[in-house]
Amino acid sequence: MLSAAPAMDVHNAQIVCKDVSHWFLKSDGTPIQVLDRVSISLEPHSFTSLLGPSGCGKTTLLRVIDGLIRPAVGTVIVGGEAVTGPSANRAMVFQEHNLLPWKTAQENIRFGCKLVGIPASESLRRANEAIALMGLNGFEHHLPSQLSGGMKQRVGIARALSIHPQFLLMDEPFGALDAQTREVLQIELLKIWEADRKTVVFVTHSLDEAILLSDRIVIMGTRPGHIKAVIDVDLPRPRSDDMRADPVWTNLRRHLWQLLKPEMIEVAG
Amino acid sequence: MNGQNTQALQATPAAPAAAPPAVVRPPWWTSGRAISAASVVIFLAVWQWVTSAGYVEPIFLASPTAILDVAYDQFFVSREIYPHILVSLTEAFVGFVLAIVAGVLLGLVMGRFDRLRAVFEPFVMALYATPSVALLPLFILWLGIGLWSKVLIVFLGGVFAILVNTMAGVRGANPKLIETAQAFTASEAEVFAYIILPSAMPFIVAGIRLAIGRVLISVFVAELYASNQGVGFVVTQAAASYATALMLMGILLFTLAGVALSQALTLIEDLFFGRFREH
Ligand SMILES: Nc1ncnc2c1ncn2[C@@H]1O[C@H](COP(=O)(O)OP(=O)(O)OP(=O)(O)O)[C@@H](O)[C@H]1O
Ligand SMILES: [Mg+2]
Repeated sequence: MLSAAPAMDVHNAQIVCKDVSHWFLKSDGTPIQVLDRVSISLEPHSFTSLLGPSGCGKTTLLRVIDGLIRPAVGTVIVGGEAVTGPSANRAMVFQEHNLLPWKTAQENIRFGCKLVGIPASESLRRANEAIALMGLNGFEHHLPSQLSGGMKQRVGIARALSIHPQFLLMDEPFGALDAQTREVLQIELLKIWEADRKTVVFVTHSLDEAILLSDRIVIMGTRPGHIKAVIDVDLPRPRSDDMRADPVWTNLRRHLWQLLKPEMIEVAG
Repeated sequence: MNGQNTQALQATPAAPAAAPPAVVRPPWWTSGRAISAASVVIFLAVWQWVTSAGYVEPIFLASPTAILDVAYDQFFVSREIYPHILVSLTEAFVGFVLAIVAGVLLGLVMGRFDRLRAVFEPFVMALYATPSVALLPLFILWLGIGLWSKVLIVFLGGVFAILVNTMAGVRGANPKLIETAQAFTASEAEVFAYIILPSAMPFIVAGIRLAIGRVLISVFVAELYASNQGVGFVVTQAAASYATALMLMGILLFTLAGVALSQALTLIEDLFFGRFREH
């Protein structure tokens, strides 16, 4: 399974979507387009956020990049290879944590390792490493039902990190959390990302979250989902919360909102 | 009243975090178990009184002590009941085990593969709705009145409850968890083993529990209808000769078997499958 992956090549570490279009079948059987000629190219070791109104196809695009969905039209190339299905060099963090309710935190983390073919002793080592990294010490043997929402998300992130992916795909990982927990986790994610700079695609509805974390923000429009704008975030790294008052931040925020507002109104109306 | 509360609240931080306030245990005789036990004892006492005081003819209803007398004779003196128990247990055991194996396997496959489900579902639903004991005359024609016609009836009585429940469990597996496993490169077999089977486990156990009652009914009716052995046969014979105490003893054996199986299942579930229960 792992042997098929190419030798680690930093310059290959990028994500390219070329003219990706996709349709789903509605319940009455008629097709509905959710992605319309989406083309993006993400630099190695960059952090990119996807912003867009609800239902515009952000999750679908992430699934296409992961290989969970084969797009009807277009190609996806990740790390120099055409995507034909999920692979051990990409890991997903899901919006609703998606932990197995009958496995403890540690077992959930090791489950991902096991599926990508990491031997048991190594997966234990990695799980404990991820548990320490995500501040889950003392909760390793708790079932998800015994964990708070924030803790569950930490486990979901730990599960993704412990397969040591080159690419991290995160679908609104903090969307279901309260504002304080969310900010704590944003800062932690920043630190973790700074340490080895994986190529990250991060879906969010929060403008501030996107600005805080990203090198680049991709704005999607809806009906059908398309790329509306790609904007670079010209804030120095390492980032911190204090930059919120920076004029670059506030101007960017205003600009993003102007781009998003008409889309939001269309969705709401 | 309010003023007192406020004072108490203010006083709390000053007190050392020592012993928790004494928890008052409700008296033991108000617990659910104690009430249930008392209820059973009272029921038996009334039963005994009604029958031994002569309000009811012994032919219509034997007293609890009369049933115990018969049981003592059957189990320790004449020892006539054992071969019958053995026959009934064999029929129930073979039929039930086959029903569990077939029900779970078919349920898993039919739950996962829509086309296979489409092929078999009409027959499953029709047979599930048919009172399987009604097919007994046909099976006796095929297999005679020995063990195998009864095994077949027991099997049919139990298998569909297990199959239908297992299928529901498989189909109810959370698609998000399936997708999660797939995102971590799980094969179809891994999805089945690690997501679908554990998700279906509570449903499989529920199906087996449902099947216990149906299996016992099948054994009883099959022996009642055509047999010269088995506890059901003993009950029929006893009824025909107005040996009411013996008849009730036979029926109680079925009750005991049902309760024992159900308890055993609960135990197995707690030991091995407790985690898979819905959270
Ligand atoms: N499996 C599916 N079958 C049919 N339609 C689907 C399916 N998955 C998604 N859709 C539809 O495709 C559109 C895009 O969905 P998607 O989940 O990608 O949106 P999103 O941008 O992630 O939305 P949100 O911000 O609410 O998460 C929606 O209209 C959704 O209803
Ligand atoms: Mg989404």
